Amino acid sequence: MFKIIPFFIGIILLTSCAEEVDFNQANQIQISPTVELSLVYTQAEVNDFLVNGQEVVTTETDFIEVDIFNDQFINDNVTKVDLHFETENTLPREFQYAVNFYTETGNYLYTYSFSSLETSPHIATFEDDNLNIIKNTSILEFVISMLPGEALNSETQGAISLKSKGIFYFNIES
Amino acid sequence: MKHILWLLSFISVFCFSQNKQLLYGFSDIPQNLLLNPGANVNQSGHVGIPLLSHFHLNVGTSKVTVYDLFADNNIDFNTKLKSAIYGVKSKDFFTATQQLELFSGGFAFGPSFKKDKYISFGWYQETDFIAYIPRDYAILAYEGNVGNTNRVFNVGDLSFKSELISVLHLGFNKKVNDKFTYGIRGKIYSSVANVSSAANKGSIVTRVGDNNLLSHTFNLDMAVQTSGIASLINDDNSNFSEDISTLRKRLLFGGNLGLGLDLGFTYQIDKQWHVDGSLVDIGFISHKKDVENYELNGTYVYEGIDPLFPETDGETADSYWSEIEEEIEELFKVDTTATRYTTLRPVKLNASLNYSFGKKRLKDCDCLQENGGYINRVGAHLYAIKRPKSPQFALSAYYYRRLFNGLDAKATYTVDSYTFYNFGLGISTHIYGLNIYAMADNLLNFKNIYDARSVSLQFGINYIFNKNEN
Repeated sequence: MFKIIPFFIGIILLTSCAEEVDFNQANQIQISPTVELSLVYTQAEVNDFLVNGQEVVTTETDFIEVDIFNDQFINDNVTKVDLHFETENTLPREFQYAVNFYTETGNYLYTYSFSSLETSPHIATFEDDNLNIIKNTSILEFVISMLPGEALNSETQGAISLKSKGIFYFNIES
Repeated sequence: MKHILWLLSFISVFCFSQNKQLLYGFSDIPQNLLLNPGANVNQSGHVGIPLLSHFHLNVGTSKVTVYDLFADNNIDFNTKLKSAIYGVKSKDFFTATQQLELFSGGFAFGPSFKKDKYISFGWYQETDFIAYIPRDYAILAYEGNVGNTNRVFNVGDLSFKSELISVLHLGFNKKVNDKFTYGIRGKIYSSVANVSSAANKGSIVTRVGDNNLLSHTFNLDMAVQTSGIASLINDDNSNFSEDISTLRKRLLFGGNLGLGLDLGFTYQIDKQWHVDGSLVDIGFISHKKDVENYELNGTYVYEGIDPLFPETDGETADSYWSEIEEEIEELFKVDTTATRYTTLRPVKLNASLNYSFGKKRLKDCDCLQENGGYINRVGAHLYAIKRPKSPQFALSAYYYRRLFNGLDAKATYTVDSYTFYNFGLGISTHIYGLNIYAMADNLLNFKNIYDARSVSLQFGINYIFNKNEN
């Protein structure tokens, strides 16, 4: 009778086979998520360009420091970045936009520019060699310049707007 | 990434349900009193062979098996991974339970002509693990948010519990009359280590923005509670064996303590029919020592920033951007607290309806044995366990037979969260008072163990004092 239990366990062990599995397949893992993130936006009306009803301001410029482009994970896994800008303009003047890319120490890298005359959206694609520009960028400078034309006054109607997002294409491998 | 995958595969190998449909009602084995303290007791005493009296292992997965992911076929691994991710629901889970009885024993007492009471006691160690598949996290990581505008990613998909405890218990069983038996068992839990994150709420959504193209909403209310773990991670030694000896000290009253109760009964409807039922592990553990909790709380809507004409005057775009960065950092900052917490044990319900039939025919007189009882029994057994997201159920039909004098067998067919084809077999032998038993379910899956949704094994050795030997 004592033999029955070992026999029973033996039957289980003998019949419990395992078909071939290969755990090394985990090394082949490759996922390619695409992430989109809001970047900058701005909106300006006539008054933003006037001082005491006179047009004086023709260029607006400011900069932001961006850490996200230098993030190690992004740097290691990103394969392509699209910066996507949409412009709208109902003012009777055209505008030139420029986005300047600088390193952490302020070294100039690249400029992407577009104007309100061109069809929106404006898409800057960074891929292959170009991708290093994004990876090295720490400071983004935005410049909006009004192109020559009839002067604005407080009677002028309209506004300009800029909206943007960044689309990050990843390829994550083990 | 690779580590996460290994962890996942480890978890999927290690997966359960705690259902002991084979042992439940197997009155020849004293450990069935742990499933129903009010079960019928046949013996006048028992002693478990220390460390060998009961070993139980149950691993299960409600969906993805190791074989699904790692089968050595010619299908691309990423194709398999994709079908695994899209095949699961957020209620799918991995689970594992392991129990080891350190010692146990019991004896009958009462008037010498009618010992109708039975005391049983013991000490066992239990490891319990459950993790739901974080489906929305997997899809967000797999696809990203492009093409998922307005899709609500539920951060509550992260839900897991794991603990290592020891249980010291004392049970009382009383046969009130020929029809009714009840039992009660008190338990003292000592939690060696516990980690639990089962009440996460919130969402991550990308929508079309008002001011900008996109608006990202983060709404997070998440927490992980741990006890008995911080001291092991933060201690200066990196010596694993020292950690093991710390754990060993905590097994007996050295950990976080709790109390529990088991209740059960058996009711004999007539000579052949009986019902029984039990509630096991109605209890709690109060985590006071070595507690470390992590919390993530907050809501934030991000649309981007306005660098040229910010609404706040006199502020540069950069300082304005720094503020937003700080707010985002604050949102994702994990707060560590040492607030004590209480966990409830997973309550288990058992109920069964049983029919006994077929008396043994004696060779020497060609007549039916009158006192030996029936040799066959069939029945249905319902099992339920309370789990973080919803209770899990299992329904078993069984056939029990006394094969020879001293050899009993039970076969079960179970339908549960894992499979509709769960066949199990258990046998128990009695030789000169020595009781040896072994049980396994999901026998069909033993053909390819890696493709098993769940595997359950139990075995043990006891010494039994029979009533008729006294």
